[in-house]
Amino acid sequence: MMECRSLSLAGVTVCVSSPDLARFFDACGGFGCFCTSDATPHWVVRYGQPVAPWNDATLLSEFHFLENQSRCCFLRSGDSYQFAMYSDVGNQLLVCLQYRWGASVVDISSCDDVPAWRFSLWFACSLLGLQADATFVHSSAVVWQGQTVLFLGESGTGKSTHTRLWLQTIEGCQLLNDDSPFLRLVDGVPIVYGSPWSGKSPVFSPRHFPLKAVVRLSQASHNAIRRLSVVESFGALQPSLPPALMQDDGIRTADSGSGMNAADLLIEMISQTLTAVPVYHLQCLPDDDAARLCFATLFGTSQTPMHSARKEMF
Amino acid sequence: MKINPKFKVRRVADEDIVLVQGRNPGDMTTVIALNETSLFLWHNLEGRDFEQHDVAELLLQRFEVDDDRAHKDAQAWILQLKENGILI
Repeated sequence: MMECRSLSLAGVTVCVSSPDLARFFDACGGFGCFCTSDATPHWVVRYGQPVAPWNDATLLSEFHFLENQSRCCFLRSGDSYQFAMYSDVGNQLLVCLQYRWGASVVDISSCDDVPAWRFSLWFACSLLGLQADATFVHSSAVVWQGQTVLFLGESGTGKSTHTRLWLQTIEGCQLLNDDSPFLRLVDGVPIVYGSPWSGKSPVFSPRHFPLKAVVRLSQASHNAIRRLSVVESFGALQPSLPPALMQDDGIRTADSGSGMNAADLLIEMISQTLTAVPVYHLQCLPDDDAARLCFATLFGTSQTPMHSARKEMF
Repeated sequence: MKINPKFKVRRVADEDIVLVQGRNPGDMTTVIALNETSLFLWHNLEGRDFEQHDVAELLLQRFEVDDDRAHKDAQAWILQLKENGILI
């Protein structure tokens, strides 16, 4: 039976309709606190639609999705996109999504696989977000005194570890999201929104706060932090935006459609972000000193507001 | 030679950059920053077939440099673009 719920994502109301919606929400976790009673959605995502994979479109990106061992294809034909997931074993179509540039509706096929359902909804929101100057950023988002810090890094570089050190070391610090928060430019001001897609720490918060700074992490044998130049900052931030969408740069599809492309919009969002906030590179050990050094650099306070239990130690 | 039309100069936070994206997720993206001279050359040569002497000629017209210096700078500029796969 088709069920429908409205979610508030990045400040926009998204109506999701799907067979077995409640079952998917339960299985995914995290969606409950984003539900809203707003009955006038800006965007609609509809599962159970007759969407069949294209055979002759331009392949923008192909990648492997570990969670359910599948192959993902992102394609463009004229002004329309498709995103399809196929199982590694048996090459079975798990889900197929279709979206026309500028539309407020994303159509998705029927889907029985929970990870495919969850990821296709993420992908739908990535595409729709372009219209609202909003993008997911692969990062951990930490909030202190109403301002967000985004920690970036490839998987395994210690985003979650460093975030945990902030929560343990710095009083009043909260985790907003541990994997995929939204970054939205509102009149040129970067705002970070929690999302139902979080990572190792399943923190689901619908709240939003302005962005204070971005920190790219790398593991090192010492702690050191440096503010990056504009070009370095671009290089630090760009890989953390949806890589498949970044491949839609109008190069291979120059003759098709309106000429609009996702990369131009994402790059404009990066540009506005870099104009508004600093980006740092933190080389760090997994220790409290790394969190304190980073905090003091970003917030300019010589006295780290440490948790009382920790204060006694020094 | 020619600047590959798939590359374009983008204005990002008051810098002029050219992005050289990898084709696969996980590939490195190279970000090339253009200084004022490089941007001048790019805008004047974009879409045209050109040789080293055309680049040197532009430098001589725009800047107070001697012939030898203009050719050396032209050669260096072309080499940098070639190394990043920007020329065809």
